[in-house]
Amino acid sequence: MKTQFPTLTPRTVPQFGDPASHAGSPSHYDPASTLARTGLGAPASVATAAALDQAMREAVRARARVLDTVTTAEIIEILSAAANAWLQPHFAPRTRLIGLLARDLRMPKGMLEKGFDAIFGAVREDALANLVATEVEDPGALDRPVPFANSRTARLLGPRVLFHSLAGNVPGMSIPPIVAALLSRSICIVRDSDRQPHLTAAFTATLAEYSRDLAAMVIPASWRAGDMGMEKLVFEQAQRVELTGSDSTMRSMVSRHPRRPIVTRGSRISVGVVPRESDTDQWKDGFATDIVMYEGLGCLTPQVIYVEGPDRRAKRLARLLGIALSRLEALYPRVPRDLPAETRRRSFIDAAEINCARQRESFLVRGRGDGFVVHYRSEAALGVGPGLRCVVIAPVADRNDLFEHLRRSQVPLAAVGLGLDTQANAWADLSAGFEDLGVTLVCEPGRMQAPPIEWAQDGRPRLADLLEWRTVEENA
Amino acid sequence: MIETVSQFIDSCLADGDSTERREHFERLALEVFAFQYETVPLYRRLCDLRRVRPGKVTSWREAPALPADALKEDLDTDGPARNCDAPPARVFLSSGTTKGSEHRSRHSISARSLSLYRRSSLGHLRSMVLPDRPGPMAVLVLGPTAATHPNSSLGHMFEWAGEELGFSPQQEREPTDADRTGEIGQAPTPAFDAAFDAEGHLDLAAAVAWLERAAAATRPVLLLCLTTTITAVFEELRDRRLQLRLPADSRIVDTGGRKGGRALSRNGLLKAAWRFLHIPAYLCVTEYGMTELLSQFYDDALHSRWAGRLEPRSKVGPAWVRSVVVDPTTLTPLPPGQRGLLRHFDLANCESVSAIQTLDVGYGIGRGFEIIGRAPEAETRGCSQLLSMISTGSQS
Repeated sequence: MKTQFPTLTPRTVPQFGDPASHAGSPSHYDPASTLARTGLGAPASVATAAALDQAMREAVRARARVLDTVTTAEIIEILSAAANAWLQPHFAPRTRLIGLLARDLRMPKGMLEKGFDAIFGAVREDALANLVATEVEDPGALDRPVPFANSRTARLLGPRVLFHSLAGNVPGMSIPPIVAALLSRSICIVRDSDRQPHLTAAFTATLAEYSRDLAAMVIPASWRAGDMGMEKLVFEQAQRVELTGSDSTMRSMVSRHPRRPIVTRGSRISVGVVPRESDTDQWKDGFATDIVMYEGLGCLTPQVIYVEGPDRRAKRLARLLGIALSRLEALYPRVPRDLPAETRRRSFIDAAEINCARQRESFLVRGRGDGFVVHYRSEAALGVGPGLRCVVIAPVADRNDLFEHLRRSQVPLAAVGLGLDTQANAWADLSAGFEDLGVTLVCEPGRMQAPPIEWAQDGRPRLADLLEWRTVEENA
Repeated sequence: MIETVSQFIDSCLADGDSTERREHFERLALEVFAFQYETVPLYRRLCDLRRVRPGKVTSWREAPALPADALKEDLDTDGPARNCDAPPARVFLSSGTTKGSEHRSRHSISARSLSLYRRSSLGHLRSMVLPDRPGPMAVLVLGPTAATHPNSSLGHMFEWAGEELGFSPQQEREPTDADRTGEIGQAPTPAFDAAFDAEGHLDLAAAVAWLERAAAATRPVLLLCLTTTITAVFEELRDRRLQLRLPADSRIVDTGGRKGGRALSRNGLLKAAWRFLHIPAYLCVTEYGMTELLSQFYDDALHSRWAGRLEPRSKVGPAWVRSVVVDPTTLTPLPPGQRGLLRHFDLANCESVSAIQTLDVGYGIGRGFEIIGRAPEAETRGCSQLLSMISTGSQS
């Protein structure tokens, strides 16, 4: 039976820039280190060996207390309470951070508002409880040692220290790893991308309002690329390292630490599928949302949408998608990005134009000033596009043709936005087929960019992948 | 049309650029655009897609630029290049170093265009690399030639430059009457040497031996090279602890090409040229060209120095080419100093498409532009993105 707790209220309501909101926090949350520049009221990320050492000491002490006194149910409640604070539209750190991210990531504020709702909305109490229930073979073993082999007792725990190095193309990538780390009682060092270095620290500050110990177990770190000293130090501390980023960046990091087991989360691609038994018109808005969200820079953006059946179905969806995208363009105007990204986009548009000039059945649906580009083509190999509101729509004759295209993907698959009623008979069959190809998320269009907390990215269960039976000695 | 363009190029070579010539260029560019709209179906369809027709265009800047990538497949030209019975005289292929051999650009050209290419490339090379007219030079090619790489546009340029400008130090003698008249029965005298074979191997020993002989002679040297090959030569000289003093007025034409081997940076190359060959920086000229164009661009350092101007280095094209840096998002021209994509309008391309949109990143400066590199193709990405990598491209 699960322990019931009264609704948690923070010790103080966090106010950005209010030093009092951090009174009594562990030492590395010294208000003096508040990022005055951002006004987020968040502590500065750890950037030096001395600061890391101090933060680690605090974290180890906090972890010991958490292991002794905090149950999984409490952790779930604390995490969901902190996330809930970030769901409040007028929560000051949220509004301030969205402003910063809009500037740094060149994304419209409205889009980030929607993104925050998805990121923190996934950290609900019921979702976390479900995560534990489905992924942990013996949830009680998270809270206390249980009898194990050879008359010994052991406890299900994650590694003592986890290190996550995250990419910066989409916001909020640190939240699911933090959730999983805390549920597994691991200290979690998180290095955010230079492009968005504040979210982890800001969320941790909120977490500290509910539990200083849990917050102390999350160490937001930040150092300049090329600071090998810090990298080496962190790699030495961590029992498990997870890297998310471009393939070349990860290759480079892995090559510097050849003997250390490292989990890499590299390039992935997602697609949309509208099967024959489904109405194309129903899914235009969902796909448009998935295409626009985070400017299509994440692995969950559909790069190609395959429409099963006669060509006219795909052509119709292309045109309707254009209308839906133009509505979103009015809502979330696209902000041009840096030169390499825009050059890639230009390369896509150039290639699409040339394809249309060569093949009469191909056509483009474009927004004003090329705000979005939908390229209908009769044959489309599955490859990575530039994102940035560019998408290819192609017909496929039948299921075999569809799966043949997916099999030939140049990049591993991440998600499929399946334009089909989840209750339809074909859903289960298609999902199974996609999963056989390595797809880890099958959902309705419009939900691709808001994966649930239990999404097994790269096929690795979020929580179960961390947990191991550890004896008391191992755990020290 | 090609005759008109030929005449224009000849007049530019004879008289240089002028206001009148620039106005003539504008008029001719519009005629060339209209001609290409009619004769290149793919280009016409592209123009139609962009809703641009010859009558609506008032400047070369408004002519739709064909993405350079479009040349990966045939242009389906209706024009003279295809209407003549004979097959194209040459099909130039890019090296494919940037995008892989399966994505090589191809540029089919007629015999007339090939002749125009020779005049265009040699004319501008003379103007930018030999403004001081140093006379016949000892030429060493450290790169492809037409003989070793018949599908390389750069190879043809090197070969022609060697033939026109070269005087081999191995045959250090005054030209005989037979040389001058080209009597039948006389074996042609090779005017240049090459140390690069058809497989792309550089014969370092031969190159160094050649340089040692050239250093002992008095005739100035012209080194036509890739960045990787000249780097290899410098490394060989360093390993052998050789520092040669080539004759005064010797010079290097570096055509880029940084893949397939070590390549010195620009500054490193200039320093090494002085240290190992005694060639000053202003006599090291960088060339930028591409398979898709029949004209090239050169550093104007030497040209400016000769003209008595003190200007920052920039790449300058001939009078029959115009270039502009455009914003990749809007395709509108950018002011000098702002980085964008290079777009060229090359009249010498009159039998294919003159307006070419490249994915080369650069910025306008001085009388021309400076190139930074080539934007890579969309890199695979997942929850990741690497946007900052720029690789340097090269002519084939």
